[in-house]
Amino acid sequence: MGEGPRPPAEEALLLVDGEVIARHILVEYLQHCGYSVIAATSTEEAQTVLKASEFTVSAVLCALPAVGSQGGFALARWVRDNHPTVEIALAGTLDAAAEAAAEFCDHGPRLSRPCDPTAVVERVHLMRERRRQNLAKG
Amino acid sequence: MGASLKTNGCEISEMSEAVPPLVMVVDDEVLIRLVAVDMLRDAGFRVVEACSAEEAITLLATDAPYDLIFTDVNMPGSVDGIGLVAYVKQRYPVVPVVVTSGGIAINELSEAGADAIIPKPYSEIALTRTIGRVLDKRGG
Repeated sequence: MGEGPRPPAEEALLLVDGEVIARHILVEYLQHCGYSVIAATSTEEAQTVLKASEFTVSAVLCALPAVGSQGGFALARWVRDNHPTVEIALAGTLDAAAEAAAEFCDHGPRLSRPCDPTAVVERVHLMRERRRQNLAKG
Repeated sequence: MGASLKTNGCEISEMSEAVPPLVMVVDDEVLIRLVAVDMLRDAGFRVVEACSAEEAITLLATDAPYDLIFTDVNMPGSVDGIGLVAYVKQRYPVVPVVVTSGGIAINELSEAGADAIIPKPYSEIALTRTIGRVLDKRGG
């Protein structure tokens, strides 16, 4: 493995993507990079995983538009309200972001789709670092 | 160890000496799917997951060398687990399919061509032993 920051073994990344091929490719890549990855196919599945005591999630990567009754922006707000120490990044097009931004203006897309896997890993490193700093602050 | 790619702190092996079997887990209930995935990964299998028969069919079309499909029966969508068994047996006859369900119609599953049936709820031992046995039979 490389020299980048490694995640604690018991914490997982939660990847939310309704497109099975895109999800599969990113899961494989992140696992190759040493991350424990939980795949969810919809925002409902993501919430189920986050509520479950069996899994500890440190960060969420959610595709836009997300599949499910809620959009990715609503999921981001729910995560912020219910799991404030969990970092979340959204991946989508600017058009999709602009449509939803009127309602949830403070969680814009951070990654463009189709995702560049190396950009995803860089983003994950940043998110984990921010989470560590937030947890240290208490 | 073979050659490797290294990018942004992530090193990916291009080759490895022994490649574990590749198993696809198909279940629409996320927590049950994740537990099955964890059990199989812990047992040393490579695992790909799908939340529906449609997703499974999409993944099969990528020509990845799946060694076994492990699927639930009752799933929403246009194809259920029994339909997936029939599809796999028609299109990929060498790929074994192991089926799980809370209420299993054994005759129907046998007619569809399921290689083994695991009643829900299942233990890690039941899952890994059954899959190992089916893979052994296929290999032999």
